[in-house]
This record gives sequence, structure tokens and C-alpha cells, in this order.
Amino acid sequence: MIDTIFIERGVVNHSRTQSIKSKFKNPTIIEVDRYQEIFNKRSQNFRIQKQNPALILAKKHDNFVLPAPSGFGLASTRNFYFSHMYNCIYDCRYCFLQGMYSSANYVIFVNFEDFFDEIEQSIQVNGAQDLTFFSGYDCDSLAFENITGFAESILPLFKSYPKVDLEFRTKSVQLEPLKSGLPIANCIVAFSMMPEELAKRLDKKAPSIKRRINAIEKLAARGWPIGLRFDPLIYSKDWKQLYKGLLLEIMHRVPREAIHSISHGPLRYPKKMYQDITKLYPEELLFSLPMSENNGYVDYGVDVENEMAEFLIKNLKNYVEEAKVFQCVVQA
Amino acid sequence: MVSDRSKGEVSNVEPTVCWVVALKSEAKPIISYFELDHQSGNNIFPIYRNDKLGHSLIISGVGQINAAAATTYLASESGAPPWAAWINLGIAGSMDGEIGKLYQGVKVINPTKEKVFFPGYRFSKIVSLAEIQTLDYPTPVKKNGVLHDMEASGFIDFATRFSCNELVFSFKVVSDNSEQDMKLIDKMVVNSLIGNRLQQLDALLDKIITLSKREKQRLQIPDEVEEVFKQFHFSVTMKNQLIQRLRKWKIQFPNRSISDLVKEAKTAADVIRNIDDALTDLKFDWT
Repeated sequence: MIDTIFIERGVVNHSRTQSIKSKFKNPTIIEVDRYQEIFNKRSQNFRIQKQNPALILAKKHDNFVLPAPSGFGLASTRNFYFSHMYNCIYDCRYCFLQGMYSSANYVIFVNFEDFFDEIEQSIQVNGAQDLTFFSGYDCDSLAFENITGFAESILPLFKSYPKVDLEFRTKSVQLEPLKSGLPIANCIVAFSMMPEELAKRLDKKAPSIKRRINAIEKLAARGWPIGLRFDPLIYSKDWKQLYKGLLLEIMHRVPREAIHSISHGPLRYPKKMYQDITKLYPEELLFSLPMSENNGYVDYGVDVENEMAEFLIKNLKNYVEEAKVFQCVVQA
Repeated sequence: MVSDRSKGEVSNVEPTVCWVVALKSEAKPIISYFELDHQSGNNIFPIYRNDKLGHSLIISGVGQINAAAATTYLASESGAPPWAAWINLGIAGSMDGEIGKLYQGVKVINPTKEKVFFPGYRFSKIVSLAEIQTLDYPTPVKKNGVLHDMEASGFIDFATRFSCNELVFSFKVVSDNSEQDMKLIDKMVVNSLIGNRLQQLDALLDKIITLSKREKQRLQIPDEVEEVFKQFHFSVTMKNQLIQRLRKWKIQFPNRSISDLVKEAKTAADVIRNIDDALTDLKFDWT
């Protein structure tokens, strides 16, 4: 539970600040000038901070919508992302956020409306089709929904642009407002998946795969388009068996009609990020396994990556058409 | 008296906890509780130590510059490792704070230099959290909800150069407020204010030492690596390579000895190659 909330002076009286504050019992409130003064501080220890992150409520001033990094998109010509929150309540050992930010504190930008305005401007500039907006690049889209209400706020916007896709990327089984609302055909709920045996070791503090599949089943039954994200693919001695088991379980439980898209990507880090993460968790088995540096990225190597990708595609063949399956690879 | 728990837990020469305290009267209860001995020969700042418990304490004198200088001096004199916890303890004024209550400073500002710090892992279940304003002179003009001291900012500015931000703490006991004048504070009062908080401080130390130990596990170079360094000539780059690779190797082969990798090696490069060979073609096994 959050024990301390740092609030930028400029948003102390913002209605969303008040609403978020009210969700916590007796937090210590500390005012700050700008969130960067705490979030970007030198010599912070991400690993220790992660044991008890504080919440920072702030106002974002610019760059609300950004082009998605290469390899992040699906079929659309133009892919964008936005982040109303930095950092995640889960503690997945492979997550790049632990190498990207020096702070494990959660930042929530309370001026959602400015995000919505810039999303609309982007739609107008780029034309209202062949666009996908991704939520959940710097956080989990839905895990903090009961605190922020962000998804609930943004859904009406995308309802009015039926040819523009919105993806919520999540591991959360917190299903509101989706479960009680009517499905929106262009709003995709995309779940990150890996075999349960691996998730138990790596997806710390995140819902089990069993619970994620239950959540997917419920949302699919409500009519929400479902995305499956096998990203990153984690190698192991028996990876074929583990992934086959996962795919069979999904195929058995989730009707193919509900699947909007499936994407997969290898475990891959920029060299500096890999070094930072392995320094944080030197005892972690994941980072003791053989990975090598290729073109500035640390990964399993192209042979393993291709073998895993081909295996996945082959085993999905009878489930969804090939056009729905995408490989997401961060390019050097 | 030092609790049995505190007495038994830490036993090393490197300090695990480094205290920076402005006044002797503030330090006395700590010196007595942790049975710290005065170190002779330190003429610039008095230093007290208990190597068995891993505590070092320096008396800095009043003010930010003294606090910063004493922190640096203690780091240098004690050889404090990067996993040492640094604690600034003292009294502070407050407009509305309860006299005798202990606070952890989670935001510390220096208005003169326009510096702001957010030190320490927060222990809100044990101690109340507060903002501290570090001033150059004692002042009776105080702001609601804010503590006023004269050292915290200078201390944190320098302590965070020796350990990470989350292992640097400022704890303050309220000594005066709008109803009780600061002129009434004397050595006996200060001694008593700090002394009455020893139990709470002990509970905090329990948690702090746990954090420090985990950091030690993360950062410390294993003794057996030092042994390998002695056997072959490693450049700085190769030393780093060896440390990184050996950590991975140890995770994969926790029961094997490093001597297996060294016995056939003739050079430092051979050692690194042997580890690489052992780590390649490994069948990843998660179960």
C-alpha cells in the first residue's frame, strides 16, 4: 500500500489529485515543485525503492503522444504510444523499466485531458485510419485502474474514432471498467503471456497465468477484442513443451473469434540497459543464462530467436490466420 | 544497555551504520546504548566506534558545512563500504510538532542553496514522515508541518556520494514548537529527548541493517574472486569481466568451486575463457 504521496504544487487542487488521494488511507502528503526533482534524483537504488514505492502526482507538459519504438507496432501504418503513468506495480524480472528509470516510484500524470487532446490532434494530422495508439509502454495499462480511472476516461474518445485502434497492454486481472461496459471493437485488451512455470519465477507480484487466462475468457465472452503478447519469449531447457502447453490452454479456453492479434518478441536489451539490470539483480537466474551482444543489443542470438518465433507461428497456425500474428523485434 | 539482538547481529570491522550527529549531547544516548568507544587521534571531529556491532559515530558540530565535512571525514576514516547506512540524528524545531516525537525526513530542503533531497527508504510503520528545512541559523519562525534543523541538507548532500540514497537517513526529535521556546533547551533536555527514542531507533536500525545486508550481498565481491586476482594478472577490464562472469557461473553452479576453473589456466584470459565455456551451451533449466 502507498504510504507517501508526493504532489506537484501545481496539481494539489486538481480534482483527479483529490480523487486519487482519497483512495489511500492516511498517506503522508509532501508537496514538490516538479516530479523530476524526486524521480530523476542521482544515486537512487531502484531495487530498494521497489520494496515500497511512493506515488508521485504530477502534470505532464509536453510529448503526450510519441511514435512507438520500432518493433512495437502491429499492422497499422502508424503506431503511437502514450504514458499517463511511469513504472508498474508488478516486478517482472525481465522488465526494461528497471533499467530505464533510476526510480521505482510511480508517477501518475493527472492531466488526462491533455493526453486526449493530443491524441485527437494526432488522429486529425494522420487521418483517422491505420493508426494504433498503445497504452502501457511505461506502465501496465490496467493494473492501477481502480486508482487512476484512466481507461474509463479514455474509452469514450476511441469510441468516436472506430477506425483508430487503442491497445491496453496488461497483466492485470482487474477488469473494470471493461467487464461492466459494452465492448468497443477498436479497443484491444492485450495480455502479456508466458508459460506458468516461467511466470512463477519471473512475473513477480503479477497475477498468475491461470488468472490471466480466466480474465481473458471473461473479456472475450463480453466481446472485447483480445491481444495475446508473447513478449518476451523466454528460453529454457523445455521451452517447446512449456509454450506448447500454454498455447493449448489458451486455444482451449479462448475462442479464436475473440483474438484481434498475437504478437511475439525475443528477450532483447540495449547493452547499457542489460548492464544496469544485471547490476541490480546479479543473483538472478535469468541473467546468468548465455546471452550475447549483437549490434548493441544483448539477446539469445538469432538462431534461438528464429527457432522460438517459428515454433510459435507453426503452433498458432490452426488457431488464427497468419495475418494476425506479428513479430515485434526492437531494431538496432 | 545494548539489546542482545543488536549485540549479536553484526560483527565486522567495516561499519554497517555511520552516525553523523551535531552535538555531543545528542550523541550521548547513542554512544551509551551501542557502547561506542572514543577513537583517540581524531582531532578534527570526535569519532566513536563499536567494531563488533559495526557502528561508527562522528560529532560534526552545528551547521551544514560541518555536517558535510564530518560525513566526508567519517567515510574516509572508517572505510565505510557502499552498503553502509548513514544516519543523521538530532533535534529539530517545529511549529506544530509534538515535543519529543521522532520523525524521518523524507524531503529535505536547503532554501539558501535551492537544493532538495528525498533521502532514505521510508519506514512509515515505525516512524512519522516529515519534510525538513535546513537553515543556516536557528529560527523561531516556523512553518506548519515542517521541521527545522541545521545539518540534514549538508549531511545528505555528501552521504549520498558514499552510499545509495535509500540508505541515507535523517531522523529528528522535535525539541521546540510554537508553545515551547527553543531557549529552554539545554544539554539535559537534548539528552533526554534522544534517549527517550532509543527503542524506536532500535526498531528502525533492525530494518536498516537488513537493507544494508541485502546491499552487501548485491555489491560485495566474493572472497574467492580476490583469490583468483592474486593468482593471475588481470587488467581492470578483465577484473570486471571476471566478476560479472563468475557471478553468473555461481548462480548456475552453486556447489562447484572456482578452483575447477583455475587449475588448468595459465593466464587471466584462460580463466575467463574457462568460465565462458562453462556458461555456453548450457541447457536453461527453470524448473
